[in-house]
Amino acid sequence: MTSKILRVDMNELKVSCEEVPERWRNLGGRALTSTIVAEEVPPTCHPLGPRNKLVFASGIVTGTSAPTSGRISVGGKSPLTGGIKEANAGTSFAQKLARAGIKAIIVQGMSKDKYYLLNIAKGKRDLIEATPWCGRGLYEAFAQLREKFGKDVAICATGIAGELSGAAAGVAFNDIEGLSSRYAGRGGLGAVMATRGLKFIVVDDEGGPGVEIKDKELFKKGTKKLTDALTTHGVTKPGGTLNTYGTDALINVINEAGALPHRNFSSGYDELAPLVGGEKKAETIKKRGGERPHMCSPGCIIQCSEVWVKEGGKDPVGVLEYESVWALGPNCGIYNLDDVGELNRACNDLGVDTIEMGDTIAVAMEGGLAKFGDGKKALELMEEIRKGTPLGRILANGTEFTGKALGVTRIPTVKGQGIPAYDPRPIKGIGVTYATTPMGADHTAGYAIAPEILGVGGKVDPLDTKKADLSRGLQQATAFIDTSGYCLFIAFAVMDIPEGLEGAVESCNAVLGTKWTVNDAVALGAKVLDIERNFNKAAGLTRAHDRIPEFMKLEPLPPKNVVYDVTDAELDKVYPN
Amino acid sequence: MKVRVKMFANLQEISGTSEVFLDAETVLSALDQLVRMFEGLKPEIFEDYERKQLMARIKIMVNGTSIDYIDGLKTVLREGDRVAVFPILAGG
Ligand code: SF4
Repeated sequence: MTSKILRVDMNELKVSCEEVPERWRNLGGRALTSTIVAEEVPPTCHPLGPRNKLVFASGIVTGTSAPTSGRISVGGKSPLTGGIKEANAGTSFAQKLARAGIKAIIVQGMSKDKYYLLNIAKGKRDLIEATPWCGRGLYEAFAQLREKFGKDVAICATGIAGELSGAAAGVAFNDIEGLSSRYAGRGGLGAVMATRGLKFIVVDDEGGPGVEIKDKELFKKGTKKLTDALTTHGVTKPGGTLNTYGTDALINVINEAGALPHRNFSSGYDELAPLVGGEKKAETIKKRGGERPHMCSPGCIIQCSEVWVKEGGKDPVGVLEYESVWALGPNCGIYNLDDVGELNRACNDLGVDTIEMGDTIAVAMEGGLAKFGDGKKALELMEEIRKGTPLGRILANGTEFTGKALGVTRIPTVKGQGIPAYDPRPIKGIGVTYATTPMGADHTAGYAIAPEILGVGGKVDPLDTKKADLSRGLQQATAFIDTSGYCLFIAFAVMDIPEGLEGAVESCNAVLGTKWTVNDAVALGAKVLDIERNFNKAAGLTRAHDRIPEFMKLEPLPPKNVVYDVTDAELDKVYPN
Repeated sequence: MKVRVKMFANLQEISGTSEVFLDAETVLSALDQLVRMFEGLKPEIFEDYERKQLMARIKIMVNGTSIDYIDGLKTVLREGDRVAVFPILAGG
């Protein structure tokens, strides 16, 4: 095994290479970041203080030719939730890091006063002063860094919001055009990065050892099974819905189901939603000469991504994901894709998570700082972050902080993290995931929407309140996928085509030399969740934190006029211990 | 009963429109009229048109509730109901 652990000590400004300990050998992605955080970070530490660490790890198969596998996990203690955090992104950074022979980067300590750039290139692991690129938007900074280090390098960054220690700050990565549009957004890890004094990581994998594959025959067999599943399933195949319309195709289906949160979770349906739906967006991109379909990282065969551009094909933003369009659009009463595009650009530029920022702006609107629907004013609010004003600092700290500052009681968060684009009142199972995942409100942690609304991976009644088993099973499978390096979107195909899942597990076995069955893979996911929950318990999170916000139990959501009525006992059944 | 039938994703591309208004007593009658108006929708919606068997993954909602949890194709429509028809799709 050639790959190494890179330890970056920001107190001493020293970078060292360590052998991978035996117990970490067969881990990658989320399993590795959560294991390292649990072993090395005191659960009660201040997330922005000297004892927190930031960990990066590519997935098990990332950096190989396995399809749709360019994922990187970022972990640490979250300033937003107070618990453990894993956020992941699809980016060539993940693949280049793996091919450069680095299994994980552990960033620890805090530099005294300056920001640094970690430059990983052939034979180099240097910390360079990054002050010239501080206080700048990330679109400009990424362009300058590519100018300086080469067009083919991959970049990771924290933005201005991170420099302000904002708990809404994400960790930004490059897309294939080199734009700062791919985010391990959730949980405020951008602030953890900035408080270490680390501003950027630049990776060039040229001359790197690559990713060793222990059993090449099995790798071929496994990846073929997965590829066959992905190219057959209606959601993931070329010309399928993800490829044609992107994730934003969900706007209309979730709106029709009465579960798309509008105007800070005050309604689940609005006639205007199609104006920002995937159908409208795909048509607009085509007219303007943007790109669709597109891949976030090389080697993706689903290609759900895109490049949104202004009128005349100008000023590319990158992808406008469903979650981002919803958060910055309908959730703020905004039904104009150009406004949403500019708000998404501001998020990518300032280094904030789009979901957290959309929830934050909606709460700020409810608190009287702007009118719902006022896209220009929403953009002005975001500019407060760029200016570093006291208001900007409040907004950069996310939904709950902003709600408290403004005396708003309808604050859509779980464990302090903003709720994503599915109101749980008419879709009970996703609420069970929001409440119980160790991550705080996170739809990706156990995507119950697939069987509850989309009829993918089975069919269950969204209004049925017995969803503990469903959510637990999904959370375990997801923790494995987040470990494997495959994009979570392979799940749509492999939940329906079992050979695809077998193939994904086989490809991991081929890389590691393990003999996992599908059940072993799910058991590994369960173990990761145990590690994460134990960290959270030691950090002081209790069952009282595994709850949906009170207003959702009291205020019926129109038009279905239902409240969240899953019992506490059912929520506690997800993790009985 | 005058009802509104909304179509999404590739169903919009095939029919060239996003919605139509129809007179229909049941979901089956609404879909039947829809595929007669837009022949291209037939193979997208029905696995077996003669036997009135829907494609496995087509999603039909009446006022936001899947017909799987009402009365399937026999679901009775009321004046002003909203019928939404989606092909298989997902996101995240
Ligand atoms: S499916 Fe989409 S998000 Fe996933 S790897 Fe491909 S382009 Fe990226």
